[in-house]
Order: sequence, then structure tokens, then C-alpha cells
Amino acid sequence: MDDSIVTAKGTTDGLVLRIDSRVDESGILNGVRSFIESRKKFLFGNEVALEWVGGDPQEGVEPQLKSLLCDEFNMKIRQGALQSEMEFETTSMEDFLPTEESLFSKLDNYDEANAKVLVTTLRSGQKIESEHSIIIFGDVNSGAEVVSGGDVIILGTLRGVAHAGAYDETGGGRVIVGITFQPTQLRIGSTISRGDGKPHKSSGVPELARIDGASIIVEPYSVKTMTGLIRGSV
Amino acid sequence: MTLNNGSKKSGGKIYVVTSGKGGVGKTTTTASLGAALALRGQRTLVVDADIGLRNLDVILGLENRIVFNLVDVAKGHCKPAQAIIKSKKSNNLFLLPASQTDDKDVVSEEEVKSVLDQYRREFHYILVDSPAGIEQGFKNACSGADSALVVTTPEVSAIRDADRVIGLLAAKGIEPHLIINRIDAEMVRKGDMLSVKDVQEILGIDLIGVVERDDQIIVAANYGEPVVYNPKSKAGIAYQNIAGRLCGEMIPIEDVLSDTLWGRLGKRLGIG
Repeated sequence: MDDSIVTAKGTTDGLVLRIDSRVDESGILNGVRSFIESRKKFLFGNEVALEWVGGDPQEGVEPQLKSLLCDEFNMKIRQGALQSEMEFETTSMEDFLPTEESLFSKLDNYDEANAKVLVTTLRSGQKIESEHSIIIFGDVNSGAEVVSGGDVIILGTLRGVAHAGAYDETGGGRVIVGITFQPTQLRIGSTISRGDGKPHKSSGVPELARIDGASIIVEPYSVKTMTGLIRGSV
Repeated sequence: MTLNNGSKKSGGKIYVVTSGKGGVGKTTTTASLGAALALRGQRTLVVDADIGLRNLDVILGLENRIVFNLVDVAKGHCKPAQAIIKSKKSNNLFLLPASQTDDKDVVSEEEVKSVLDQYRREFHYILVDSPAGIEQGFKNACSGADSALVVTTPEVSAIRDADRVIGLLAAKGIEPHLIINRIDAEMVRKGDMLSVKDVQEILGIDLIGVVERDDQIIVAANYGEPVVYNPKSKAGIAYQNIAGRLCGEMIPIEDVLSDTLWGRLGKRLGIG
């Protein structure tokens, strides 16, 4: 079976693909392709390290493999995997796959590392939702919505609705930061504030919205305010 | 007239004229731009994709000449050449009317696309007048388009709908160009109306024209003669300029404000 050429193993550094270097070039490429194809949902777009079992691979195999992983499956290669002479062994996926629960509890702790980054302007009718922080290089126009379990950071103008700390009633100390604030509504946790209906005069500096007591306040952004905030979940 | 299935590379360019919101001037823009392109010697077809609520024929004064329509071509009831109507004023401007008795679901996106492709070889420009909304009619109108002309007025509701449409066009890979219609220089100067810059800042797409509010538009529509034939109409000149820009000429966008009394005074005094 093709799969026996490739096995995967979970380490503290992340996922490692162990590949039998004794197989010929096309065998390796086909093996890796079918291995990832059958586990696409889990592996696609992920970062892996490569580990060769049975000595260094033949010349030319590694670059081809890298382009296969990077171009076709959008994966990244992590450097520094050990060259290994270890005995070739077959592991089943279930042995190292984190269970759904452990995966999520891990993500909770490393929220910022999983921020969703968008380089686009969100237009009317478009909605972005993530349990993690959301960073947008672009505007959020009137009629668009950003819902985040973490912080919302908009490197542009906020004209629509932004919701930070959406899955925590208290908001968890989450903030909304934008270069220019003209929001329809700001929501943090279960607190909602709306604009006064008048066109907002921009203060000319980036602004930050946070919970203060029972309401949301907007103030000029400064590192001081940010570091002074007690972060609920971190 | 020989009509072949054109590809994107051979034949003319297809623009969809759209806005999301109704009543911002899509049909007027289609008719006026079509006439302006024709005046430049460009063979132009304007297509009414507003099936069931056609208007373009009235604006062009051609309502009494309609025999076949877009739906007939799509269903093979007539030849493509039989359905198009030459305009009264120009030998270069043709209309493909919509059916008034059907509704939007009678044709599919593929059918409209294949109809437009049949005309592509014969024309330099094809302008498709989209119905308001973002439902089937809008999707049909966009189906064959290479680019879009998004019409908006400087009002928040029109801008929000234009914004929505721009998002949908982006998803279809259609490049949008912006036309700001019915701007009133005096109101902008007083701060009672969003300026061209304000609108551009929100929508953030290529601006291809600014059309000032002009009563001549209503007169022209009533007579069934596009406003571009009136050399005194500001809107007519604006549409001529847009047509020029579509043809690749470098015409600067009109500075609406400099044309007000205060703007003129300022210029004369050297402070404008």
C-alpha cells in the first residue's frame, strides 16, 4: 500500500511526515500525494517537518516533494527535522491525531497565534466570523459585520458592525481597534453601543473601543491603554 | 450580418451597468453612454436585461419598433440580427430590447451569456442595463460581462447597495468602475451632500465618471433622445467624457466644485 511509504507523527513541535527514502522518486511523490489526499481536511494548509527513514533521499527528491506540498496542498515545510535512521514503522493516524477536545482547548490558550488575517475591504452584506482575533487590512463598510471571539483590529475605516469577545458575555477584556472609527455599532461581549447617528468626526489617530463598567468607551489608541487592560482569557 | 460565436478575445467588450438600488440612473446611463460611444463611431449595442420591466426602449424612443426581444433570441425564436433595433439618431447604436411579458426566471445565466456572445463580434461595445436588485435578473445581466459600470448617487442608501454589488461582482471576477450620478455642486459645497471624494473613499474602486444633476435628463427621456445630443447639457458632456475614457482616452475627471459660483470666483481671484 502506498501509505506504508509515508507515516505521520505528532511531536511537541508539530506534525512530522516520516518518509521512506528507500523507495524511488515517483513512489515517494505518489505515496505522499495519496497520503495527504486521504487526510486533506486535517493536513491541508498545515505546517509539517520532513523526516527521512532509511538514510538521505536521492538527489532531486526533496525539492520536488517540497513543491508538491507547498503548491498543491498549500502546506509549509518546517525546517530542522532530524535526519533519522530509526526503524521504519507504521503508525496509524489515530495514535497521534489530537482529539477534537484537546485541539480546541489548546487553541483557546493560543488565541492570538490563530488570528484570522484578511487583506480585503469587507463590503455591505459580507460577514466574517472567527472564534479567534480578526485582523483586517482594509475597510469594514456599512452593512458588513465582523464577529470575533477575540479582538477585532481594523487597519482601515470601520463603518459597519464590529463584535469583539463575542462568545463571552463580559467580553473577556477584548477590544476593537481601528484607524478610523465611523461604526454603525460596536459590540463587545453582550454590550452594544451605537453611534449617535451623526457623521463621526475622526480624531485623526487610531481609536480603541473597550468595556468600561457597563458601557463601551472609545478612546485614542495608545500602547499604554492596551497594556493596562486586564486580559480576561490570557 | 454574419454573427458568430465570439470569444472573449475577438470582438467587443461587454459592460454591465448596475447599481443594486433602483432609480439611481442605470437606464439613463446605459442609453446616454451608448449614444455617446456611437457618436465616437463605435458600433454599440445596448441591451435591456430588465425582463418584465423594460425601460431602455422608451428612453431611446424605440418602443414602437420592437418585434423580437432578448428572450426570443435566447429561445431561438428569431435570428440574433432580427431582434436588434437601430436607433433613430445614429447608425452605430442598436438596442436589444427585453421582453415585457415574461419574468426574470424565463432565461438562465448561460442563455444570456450565449446571446451576448453571439453579438460580441459585431460590436465594439455592448452595454447591458441590469435590473435593480441582486437576484436572478442581476445575475443574468452580469453573466456575459467583462467589466461593470457601477452607478451610484451620493446618498448613503445608494452607496451601501453599490458596495454590496461591488462585493458580488468581485466574487464573479468582474472588474467594477464607478459612475457617481446626480451630484449637486452647490449642495456639496454647503456640506449637505457627500462629495466625490467621500464616495470614492467608501467604495474604493476606479472612478470613471461624475455626472452632475441636470434637468435636461428628464427632458431628454421624455423626448426619447439621449442627453448627449444636447451640447449644452452638463450631463451630456459628462457622458461624452465617460465614453472617451472607455475608449482609452485620458480625460481628467471633472472637478464639480470648481464650477460653482464660489469656485469660479476663487479661480478668478487666484485662490481656487
